Amino acid sequence: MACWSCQRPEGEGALCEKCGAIQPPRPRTHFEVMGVAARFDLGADDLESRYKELSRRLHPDRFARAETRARMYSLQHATALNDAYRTLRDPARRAAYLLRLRGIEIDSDRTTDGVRTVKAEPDLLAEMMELQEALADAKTDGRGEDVARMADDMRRRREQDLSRIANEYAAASGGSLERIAQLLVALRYYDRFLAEAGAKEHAA
Amino acid sequence: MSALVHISEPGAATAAKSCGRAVGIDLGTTYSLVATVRDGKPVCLVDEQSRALLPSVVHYPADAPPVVGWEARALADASPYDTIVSVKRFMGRGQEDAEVRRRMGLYRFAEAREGLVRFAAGGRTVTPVEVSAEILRVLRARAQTALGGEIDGAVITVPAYFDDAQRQATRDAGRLAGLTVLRLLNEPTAALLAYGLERQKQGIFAVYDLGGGTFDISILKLLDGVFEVLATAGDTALGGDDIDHAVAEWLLEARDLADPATLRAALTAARLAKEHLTHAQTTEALGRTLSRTELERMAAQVIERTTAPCRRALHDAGIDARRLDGVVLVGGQTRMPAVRRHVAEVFGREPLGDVDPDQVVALGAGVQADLLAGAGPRDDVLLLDVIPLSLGIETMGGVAEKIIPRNSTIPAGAKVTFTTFADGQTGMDIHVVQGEREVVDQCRSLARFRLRGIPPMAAGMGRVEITFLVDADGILTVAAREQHTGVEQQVHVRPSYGLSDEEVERMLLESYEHAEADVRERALREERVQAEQILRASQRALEEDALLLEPGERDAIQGAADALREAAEGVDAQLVHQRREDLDRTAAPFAQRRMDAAIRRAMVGQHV
Repeated sequence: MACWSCQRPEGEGALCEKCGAIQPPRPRTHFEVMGVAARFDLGADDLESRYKELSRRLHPDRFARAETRARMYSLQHATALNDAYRTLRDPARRAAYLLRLRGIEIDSDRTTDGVRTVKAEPDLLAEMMELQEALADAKTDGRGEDVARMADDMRRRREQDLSRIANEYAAASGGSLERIAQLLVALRYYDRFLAEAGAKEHAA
Repeated sequence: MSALVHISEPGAATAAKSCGRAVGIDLGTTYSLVATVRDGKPVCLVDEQSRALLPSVVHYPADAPPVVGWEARALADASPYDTIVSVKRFMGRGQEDAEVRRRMGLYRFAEAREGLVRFAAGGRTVTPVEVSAEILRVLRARAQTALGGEIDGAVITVPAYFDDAQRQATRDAGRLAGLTVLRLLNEPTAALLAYGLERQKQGIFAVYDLGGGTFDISILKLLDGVFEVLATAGDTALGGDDIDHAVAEWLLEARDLADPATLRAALTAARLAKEHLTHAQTTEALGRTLSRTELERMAAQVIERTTAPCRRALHDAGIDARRLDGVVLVGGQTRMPAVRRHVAEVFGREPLGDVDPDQVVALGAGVQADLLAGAGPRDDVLLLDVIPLSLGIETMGGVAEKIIPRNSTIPAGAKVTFTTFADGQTGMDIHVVQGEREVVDQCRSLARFRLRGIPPMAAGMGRVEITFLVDADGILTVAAREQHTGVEQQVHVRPSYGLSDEEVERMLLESYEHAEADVRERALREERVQAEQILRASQRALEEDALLLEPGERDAIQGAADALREAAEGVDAQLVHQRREDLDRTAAPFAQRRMDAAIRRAMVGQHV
């Protein structure tokens, strides 16, 4: 495509190869936005330095004096970049996003065409309900230590499941998507539990 | 990289002239300041008496222009009703806000218009935006004198925890004061920008900002010139004013609280006593002796209220207090020894003592203004800020569904799709809210609008895609679009505070009308296509089967066809539709005969 500013072919990047003008964003995956391969195993430091480098070039502050069109493109690029980094920096979100790219949605109430939604197994639901009740009781009774202990246990469990997800993705065959989906559904429930527990910890 | 350095460089003069005079403004609850970058260093600009601070006080004399600053503050005790102090606490607030009600004793309110607070002062009515604009005008004039010309742009700071309405109001005040507002910058971020650049610091810092009327806590990561806000929390109705009130009430124990002049005088005495006790152990106020211990007892509740936001910010940032590289104190109220002790306790370390808590925010704003509009390109520094409160939308049952979670880096955007819930539903109410609560009633209502023109469909078939976009100022734009059928419309909504409701209403109406125009245009085009088809078909029929025509029939059909052709050249879709039906009806007997003839021919063919 021709650059809107200098009319020459602009290459594929966010900025024109010839004149440096910012180009309208194309629809891209979060991985493409960050310039990394679509895989689970990504280094946090590498992501962060890529994010900051891209921000330096694309942030609206860089275009404060540019014409309206360039300011608009910069806003769109920076928005997509922030969204990409927020999704990919967090291992659980990254794993869920990889699944979504393959047409699997985690525990969503929304239905989208051509997307399969994976929900919690009854066993997990039953167990989490029990744990939630125990947590609620501990909170009502003001047993702060018990709340903290339950939260610690849950955090450990979350860590374990996260490394299971990493192992699945690392497996030579690419791992079982179904299994990863189930682990991610469980993570959602753990996070809800931790939010409940945390609300108490912060109020204290 | 200052504007002035560049002016002296050959070749750079033109650029410097057009966009060199940029300033940063700290529009505070108690004091306001203006700063700019000179010779690469940010400096606060002073008045003719060399004072950097301008009290954020506006006095409205009857039949004379408003008086701003020190002079106004001196007049506050004598005429409390005509003198507006701490106006920042009213920015973007509706009359019914609890914060406003609580402080009503000291202000005379005019009847609210469109739910916005208005003061009655000096025989006129003014809004908080107008009062703030008076303060900004004085700072703008000061900067013009100091920099020798018109100001090209300003960065104005706001508490990080300001919601969308409060930001809009601040931006409007800047505009009203004749300033080009380059950016609204969060105060703690501004403070760390000034501090970090000055000291060449790296690491993770907490900025604890307790001002006259607002409290902010931000956790920032500073690495290679990128200032990244990890999390922010706070309370926009908590500050030194609250301590003054507690002390004033104590001073007035036995006196009439309802008399505003007395109360205002007591507040002044309370503030002076509080300031004196920063260094002294006891002081006198309105004939009573006040000890530092007694003051701290009265302030304890206010100070304690800062604890929970600090914990939450650390938690949201995912940072343990031990990993912090420093705690920066901002805001005049942090001079109080009890506040410093409290901060040391919460964060497990002594706060940094080498920052001027009054000036550092303005200095940071000056730096950011220079980055955005200064003469020299400078790409070694970048600020990445966040939205303080989640943005969401009301769903079934009054539940607030979060669309953009708090502490998302800005600019931020998100899309969410809702489906229609009733058969034949043609509109959808969209209610935009801000806040952390699950229930809509407990969140801040930012905007309501109705998306119309959804084509009637079965429940669940209509799809409305709602797009949120938060720009680099932290200000939100919402767009809604029905996407299932070919019909598309968009409604852009800017939250209603700050702008008058009429303005918002007008913008909305325009978009509705625009949408209706789109629908009409589309209908017309469809009618034209169909008209063209039937015209072509009837013309062919007249040529092919002229023998089947009854006497006079050709003229009748030709007449109806001409009428349709004429209508299709116009813009009335309804008329095109009607004429098309006329032609259909007129040609129907002829069409029937053609059909019969065709069937007969076919049957004859079969016999052969």
